Amino acid sequence: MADVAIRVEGLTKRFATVTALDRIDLDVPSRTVFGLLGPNGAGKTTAIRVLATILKPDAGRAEVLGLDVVHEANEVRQQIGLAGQFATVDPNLTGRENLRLIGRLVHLPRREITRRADALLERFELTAAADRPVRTYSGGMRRRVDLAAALVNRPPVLFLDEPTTGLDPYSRNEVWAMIGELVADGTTVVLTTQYLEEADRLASRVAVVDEGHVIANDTPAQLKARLGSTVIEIGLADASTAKRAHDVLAHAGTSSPELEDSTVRLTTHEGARLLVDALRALDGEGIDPATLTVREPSLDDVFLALTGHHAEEAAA
Amino acid sequence: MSAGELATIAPPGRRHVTPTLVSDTLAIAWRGVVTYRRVPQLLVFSTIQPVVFVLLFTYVFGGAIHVPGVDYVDYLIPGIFVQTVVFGAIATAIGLATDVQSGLLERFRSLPMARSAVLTGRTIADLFRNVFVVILMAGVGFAVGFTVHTNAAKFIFAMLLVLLFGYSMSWVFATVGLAIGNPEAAQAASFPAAAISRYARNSCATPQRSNACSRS
Repeated sequence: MADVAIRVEGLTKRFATVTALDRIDLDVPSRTVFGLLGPNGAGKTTAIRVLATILKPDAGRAEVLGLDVVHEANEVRQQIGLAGQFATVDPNLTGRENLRLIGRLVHLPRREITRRADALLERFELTAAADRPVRTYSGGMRRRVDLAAALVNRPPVLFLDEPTTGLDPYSRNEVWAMIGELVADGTTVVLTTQYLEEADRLASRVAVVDEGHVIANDTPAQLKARLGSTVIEIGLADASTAKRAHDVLAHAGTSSPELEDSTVRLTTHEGARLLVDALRALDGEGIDPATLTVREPSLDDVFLALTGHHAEEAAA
Repeated sequence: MSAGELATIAPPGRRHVTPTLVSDTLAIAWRGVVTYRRVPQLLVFSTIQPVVFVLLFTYVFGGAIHVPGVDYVDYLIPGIFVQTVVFGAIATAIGLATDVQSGLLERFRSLPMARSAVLTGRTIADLFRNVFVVILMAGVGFAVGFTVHTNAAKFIFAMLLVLLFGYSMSWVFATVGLAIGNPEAAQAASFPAAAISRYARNSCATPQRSNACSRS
């Protein structure tokens, strides 16, 4: 592995009765995108807040570019940018004013503030809206100005907390493209997401977080390989029919089927062939499927495979 | 890990950090003043109320209230000054609670700035607003017949005292706003404190007489 941009050892954070982070260990290689994948309440945001020096950990340590997030917090703040669901901009200021405010607060020279604000507004296609209050922006524009604000100090390390949650597909693709550009320019990005697709698309390494634990830390390809690239869900009329279908498919031995209520789920790398085999086997036994779904694995499937329980249950 | 391992990633220089309270305070205060300019409702609504009070007590209730030895307007207006800055300080609580809720404070906390500037900047912006409001109220006061019985220097000193009082109230309400972290709740929580400081005084009428303000 090349250089390590962020090193986390035994990081623990408790809130009253909840342990949000339970002895987390992570290494983030520099100039890559590192994904923290997990459901709401898994501890992803807490991890980002500790790394961004907003929260102090209860135990363990974390270093950003070799700087301790507790003892060298102010030095860390010089090296990072933060954007996402919880770090925002002032809705009453214009886009330009927000960027200038950040520029002043990171102590850039006046001329440099103007230069960078103009450059960022242009890069994020906000020049036309630059002098309108942010409260008049659309969701996508708002997210772009958030991202721009995180980049004013040209941080080598960028933290993005669910950068695309709530965005339409077009804006989401734009944000993805920008993240790609930043990494190409040498930035290390740590992002949290609830979407396997997003982690797969952007991250070169993904840590799956569940109830404050890292339950997997791998490349997206490896994660998916463990899981299978296609999920086939066969819905049946009732639970007893489903049980029969499950037994038929298990007997056929094409893949290990999972039974849940009146649905049988197959996870495979050979979706097309398995689908034909499965339907043929069911038809042979005179079982008619009520519904049929063929899809890419979701976060919930990853969770089910890794933890044996659904992502929603983990969030509760 | 050694620092050397990371030397290639970290940009050279700028490792030395001295949080600059003064420049950060000015930046945050600038933001506050721009907000008042951008959302004039914040100013208008905090000034309409005292103006209405002045007019109401001078022309409607004033005739029924007699304060021995003093012209009623001269008795009322100083109280209104104090009331105005106390109610203005609620804006400090609401503003900070809004920043907590929106996540703006989270961003500030991730920046290499002096953290206290969030408070010093906000209170200074509110001080600027109070200067504007106090001047306006003085204008309204003089328009309804308020007269200064001492001299201009003492009047200005009194105004500075009002501003100082307002500034200190801003810090009290800043605590409320930060502790509560929700703008609506912060407003509700601020009201009793502000109301006590208004009604427990006897600026509208003398205690011996009808307690006119409290009933209004």
